[in-house]
Amino acid sequence: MVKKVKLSEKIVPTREDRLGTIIAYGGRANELVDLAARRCLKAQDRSFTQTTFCQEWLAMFTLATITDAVSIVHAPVGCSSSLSCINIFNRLGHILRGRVPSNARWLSTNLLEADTIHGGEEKLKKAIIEADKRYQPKSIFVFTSCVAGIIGEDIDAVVEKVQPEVTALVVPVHCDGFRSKVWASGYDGSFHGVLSYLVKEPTAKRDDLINVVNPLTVGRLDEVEIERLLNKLGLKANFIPCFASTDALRNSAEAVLTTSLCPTYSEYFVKLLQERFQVPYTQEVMPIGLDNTDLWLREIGNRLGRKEEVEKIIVEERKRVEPKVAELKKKLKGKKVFVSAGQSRAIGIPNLLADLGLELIGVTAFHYDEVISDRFAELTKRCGNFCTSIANVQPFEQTNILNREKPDIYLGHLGESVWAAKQGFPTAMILIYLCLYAGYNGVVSFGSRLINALTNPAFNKRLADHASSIYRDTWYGEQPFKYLKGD
Amino acid sequence: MSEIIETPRYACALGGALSTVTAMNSFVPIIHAGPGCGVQLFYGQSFVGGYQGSGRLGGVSVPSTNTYEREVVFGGEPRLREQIQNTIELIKGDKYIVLTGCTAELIGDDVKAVVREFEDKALVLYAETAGFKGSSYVGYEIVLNSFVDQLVKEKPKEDKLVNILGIVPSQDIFWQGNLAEIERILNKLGLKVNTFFNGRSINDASSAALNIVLSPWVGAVLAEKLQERFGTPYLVNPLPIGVTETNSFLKRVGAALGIEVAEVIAQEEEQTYKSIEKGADLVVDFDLQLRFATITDSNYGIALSKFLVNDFGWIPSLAVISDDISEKYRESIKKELNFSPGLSPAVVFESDSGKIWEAVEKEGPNFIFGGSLDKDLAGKIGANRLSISYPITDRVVLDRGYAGYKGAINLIEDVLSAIVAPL
Repeated sequence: MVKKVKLSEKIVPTREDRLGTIIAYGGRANELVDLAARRCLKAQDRSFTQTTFCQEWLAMFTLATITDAVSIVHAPVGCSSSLSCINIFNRLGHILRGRVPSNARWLSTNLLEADTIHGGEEKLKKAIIEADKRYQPKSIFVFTSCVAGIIGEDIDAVVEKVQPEVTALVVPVHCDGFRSKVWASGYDGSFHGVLSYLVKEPTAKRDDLINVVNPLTVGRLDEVEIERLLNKLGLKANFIPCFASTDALRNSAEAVLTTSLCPTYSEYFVKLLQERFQVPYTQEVMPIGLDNTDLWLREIGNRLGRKEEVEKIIVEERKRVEPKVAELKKKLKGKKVFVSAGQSRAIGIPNLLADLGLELIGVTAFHYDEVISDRFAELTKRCGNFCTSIANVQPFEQTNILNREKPDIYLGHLGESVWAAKQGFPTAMILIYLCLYAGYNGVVSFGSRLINALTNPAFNKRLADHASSIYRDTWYGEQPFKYLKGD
Repeated sequence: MSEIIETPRYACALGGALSTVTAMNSFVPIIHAGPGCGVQLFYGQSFVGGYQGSGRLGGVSVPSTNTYEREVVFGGEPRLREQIQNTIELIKGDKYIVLTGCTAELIGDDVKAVVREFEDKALVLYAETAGFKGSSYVGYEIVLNSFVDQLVKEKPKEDKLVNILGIVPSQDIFWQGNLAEIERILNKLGLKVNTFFNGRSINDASSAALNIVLSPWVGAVLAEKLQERFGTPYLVNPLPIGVTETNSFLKRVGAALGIEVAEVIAQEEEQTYKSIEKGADLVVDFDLQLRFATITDSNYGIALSKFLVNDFGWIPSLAVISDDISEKYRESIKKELNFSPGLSPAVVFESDSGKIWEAVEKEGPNFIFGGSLDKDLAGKIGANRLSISYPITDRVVLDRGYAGYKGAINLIEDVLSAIVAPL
């Protein structure tokens, strides 16, 4: 059952404990809706798995781009290696915001075999002091790891002890990779640290300031579209936490409202910000597709008592983009599409696709829980009884499913989409940095992207001609969910 | 106490082991570790190595036990057993290797025993590559050592076959191009080359007449072991770039195997200078003789400095060696970097980027050979630069290489292009 969380707890319970999140399911959408409605959805595992993300990755991903912070990864050196990859998004984000690109800052405590025996707390202390000395950051985030967790490092104690010696605010982030099957738990560990150690009691409330919680995978172009809509309501967007300053996070309790561009990402943060600082929130859907953008705006209007203004904006915006959407629809109508994404996007993107007339034949969501269950049920009303898989990136299942379902186009996330490409399917990313997909303009922009992908799929086709399946031929005769097993 | 490291310039042992096995293309890797290791190390080892992708069986497709709390508490052996069984059933191949990560080793899973259960079903090896054992370079050594211990048997020698050791795939971002060029020139000498990554099997490692360690230290211990076990002689010769070093390399190989190399050297040298000559006008007209610093592993530090000093006429200022090398190799590396007076760089052994940037800033070179993380520093001190060492996210590397004769031409093109890029 779902646990109630208290901010005084040092570690947030995992999403599987707190929200009953599952990472494994295979079947039709209606069955999932039915099981969830009857509360009969059981946690399953897989007896064969491919590598996936851990919560530490997502925790770093949440906080690494804060402009005046340093990240310290208390782990062997490999656990910070993809910060060089997150730094790609960091630099790109600077460029798209008109800033001179600069590196994210991070240190590894470089835990070696001897440290696993003697402990690494001294090294952590040293790393915090060094980070403070080298960069005079406003905040320092300390991320834990499997090794730190297993050898029993008490990072809260280290932080408490070292805080008086440094000027930065030091924030422990509990994200041991093995502790949660749901990598989104890493968001909660990050935000828990932010709420417990950074956000301060507001000295004043600002009626025009709205927090917009936005993950690194929703790009600047989407923020610009969202900012445009919020400006129409006279609201100023405080985009957090990515590319924000420590102060922007610290002052987030001054806002009149918090909203979200990804409910899966913001789920814990907005609830706790309300509980502790009485900042109300909305996080029903991602503002993707016409209906969901309407809904997203209406929620804000309702909360702020500005329903009429919002309705006026909706009418204006729809009047402007609907003719363009109708044009795109002529070209995209009836195209069969498969979507794989994080759970909020997995139910958001299909609405945009339905606006454009595409036929949804399948969805993979990285996990599933109450954050999306109602909206998922509604999606089945709009898009039918599509093939549904809940998988934390398991390309072996995806390959089998796509081989059966044969979509005209595949929409997926980082890392997994290339495997659909190698099967020869046209692909488009649902994580888009250089193309807009949020809000009203996003429907038009994303529609154009899809037309390009469908018009010339040459790259993927040629790739498929030269890529051989890594799976045995017999796999394609098996049902894709063969390796699901009870917990 | 080991040191903390700001923005490390290598991943962990599992990272090096995984990219090594993936590059071999013949063994199916099975990671026995936490859920995120494979993805972390795909993005953190290959993808940030010039955007090298998942290849045939890498990236998010790598089989992994994804051990969670239950395994940490109750042990991960049942999960590993199930995973091996199902990997054999599902993934094409007949050779598998289990790579253990930190979790499996800390909780003390008996991987050897689990692997042995599959003796009759398939060839399943294992390597203990926990991240806490060290760098990507160490992971390469551990995994190759496991192959030698568990797989390689005595075979008849082939007098024209050589093995290449010391190049860590993805950690050396130009590994494919470098190995291809080394293979090309050794082929010209009539030799067959087993790099373990070129379709030849590590199974045949004992057949070689000579092991060539193309690094000042990576693979040296393994070469010693191969000599003890199979009587194969070896030579340690850091990556050769350009005419002077490649000529000398070929002469050493020739001497070791009793092969005449003069003709090949003459041909290659002439061919190389035909290309280099075309760049001479630019170099001379624009006075492109710069003071350079290297922020690279020891192999590239030596290789770049030798080429730039001996062939390209540049002035070395500082060589930062970032691959966390044991004390015992440091003197010989310093010796390699000792040119004539006024032409020897200061040598600093340092893996911590904060300290590295401080040292390079103080030195103030005109040109920096480093990774893409050094962009901000180069901007700050107004130096030109080329990304050549891990991590590289400001250029795409598919099969470009800098080794040998052809590599020198690539290097000259890239260095000069970096200088003229704003024009």
